[in-house]
Amino acid sequence: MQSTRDELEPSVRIRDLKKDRVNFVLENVDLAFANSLRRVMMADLPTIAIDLVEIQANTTVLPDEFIAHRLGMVPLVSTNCDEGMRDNRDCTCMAACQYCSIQLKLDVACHNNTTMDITSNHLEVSSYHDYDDVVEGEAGDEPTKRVEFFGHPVGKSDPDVAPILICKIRKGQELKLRCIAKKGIAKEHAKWSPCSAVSFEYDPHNKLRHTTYWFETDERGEWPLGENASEEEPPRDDEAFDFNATPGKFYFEVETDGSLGPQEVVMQGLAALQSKLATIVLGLKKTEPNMVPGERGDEAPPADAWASGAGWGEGGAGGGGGNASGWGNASPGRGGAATSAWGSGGGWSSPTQPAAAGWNV
Amino acid sequence: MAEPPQKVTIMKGATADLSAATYQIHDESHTIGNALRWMLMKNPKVEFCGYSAPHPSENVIQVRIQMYDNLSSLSALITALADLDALCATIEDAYVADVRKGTYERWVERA
Repeated sequence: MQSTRDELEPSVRIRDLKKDRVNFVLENVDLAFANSLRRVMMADLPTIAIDLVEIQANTTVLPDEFIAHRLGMVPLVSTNCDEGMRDNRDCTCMAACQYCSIQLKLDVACHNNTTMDITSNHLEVSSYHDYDDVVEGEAGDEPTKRVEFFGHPVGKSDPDVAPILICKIRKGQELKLRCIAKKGIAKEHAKWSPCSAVSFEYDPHNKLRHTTYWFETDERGEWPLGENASEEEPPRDDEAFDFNATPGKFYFEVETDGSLGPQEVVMQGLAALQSKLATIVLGLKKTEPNMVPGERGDEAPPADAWASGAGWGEGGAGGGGGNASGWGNASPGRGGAATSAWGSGGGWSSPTQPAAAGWNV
Repeated sequence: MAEPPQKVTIMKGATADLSAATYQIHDESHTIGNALRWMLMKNPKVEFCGYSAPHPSENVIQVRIQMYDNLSSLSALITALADLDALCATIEDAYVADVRKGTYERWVERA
């Protein structure tokens, strides 16, 4: 039942944690919230990626823009870049400076008779100190908050990680360029996404019929169950379709490209959601300063009333036995039951109940 | 430079006591819209709540809230925002607690 699930605390169970991925099960939250978490991890977390490329020499077979695009996709170590770097658009510098960007240089030429690979390991982070004409933004403490190898290509310091191939050159060809890496989010360009994939599944047995399987002759034979199916009870053959059921168990696997660790992606994802909510609250206070009494409305119940799910059942509101559960059932997507009952002024009540019974909140 | 647009505006057509109003939220998407709609719908004093992203190239969502008993939709909205915030905190705590437990599969990376 939905009402019982609502009263349960949301829970998280980590099934697997590796260097670049985390697999966890999120329970007792709504589909809308689980999807928000998925969206925020994919598109709203800041990372660093090459955004400007100044090509000084390119005699390779690839055109400039081709190489610039490939450079942009190279993941750079972005740990704590929320604090370690300021947004280039908010910085008061002329174009880019040490507070709002990382400069990387690449200078490779082939002098041998063999084909040479230009890889992400040829990218060298270089400071702005060689330039005396850089107009810097307001001084800040961003550079002190950076970790070792901040802004370096992922895996450059690790001999076990194969570097990313950018271009192949032959004898006599060279590539020389300067890159400016900036902070950004994947909503603007996918190169800023810390995730290479986020898998998200619920209802592995398709009990809710949110999808229909195409099949030739035998649906179950042609659609083998996934790994997550063992987490849930398979439906009995004679089980009737429960049209009131809602999904409540979500299987995530967050796979990162190395710019952020999987732990950081999940934690920052939740933090990013909270900061989005905080911005709206702040915006509301600016819009209607007189009508916002405080953090919450005067007549609104305290937050713990939500958690316990008991907030509106109190005071004998339901009175007549079964109708009290109407409160607990007030969940989205099921407006039919909850809203119409209240709209009609105690429609669930027995005739002996006063019509206003359900309104006593 | 132009003034930054307001984060939240109440669109025209709202009742004077704000018991029915449409809020336009700038720079938000389905990420917040759907979760917020769900949280508002959990409130039994809300008669109706729906949201839309009117156009993919306009960076706004619109949230419509109608209340019973001429209650204020604004306080319902603020409550819903605070509750979503609390939900995030709860899940973060649950996640950290489970990491500490360390019962997940560990994996040593080899060359």
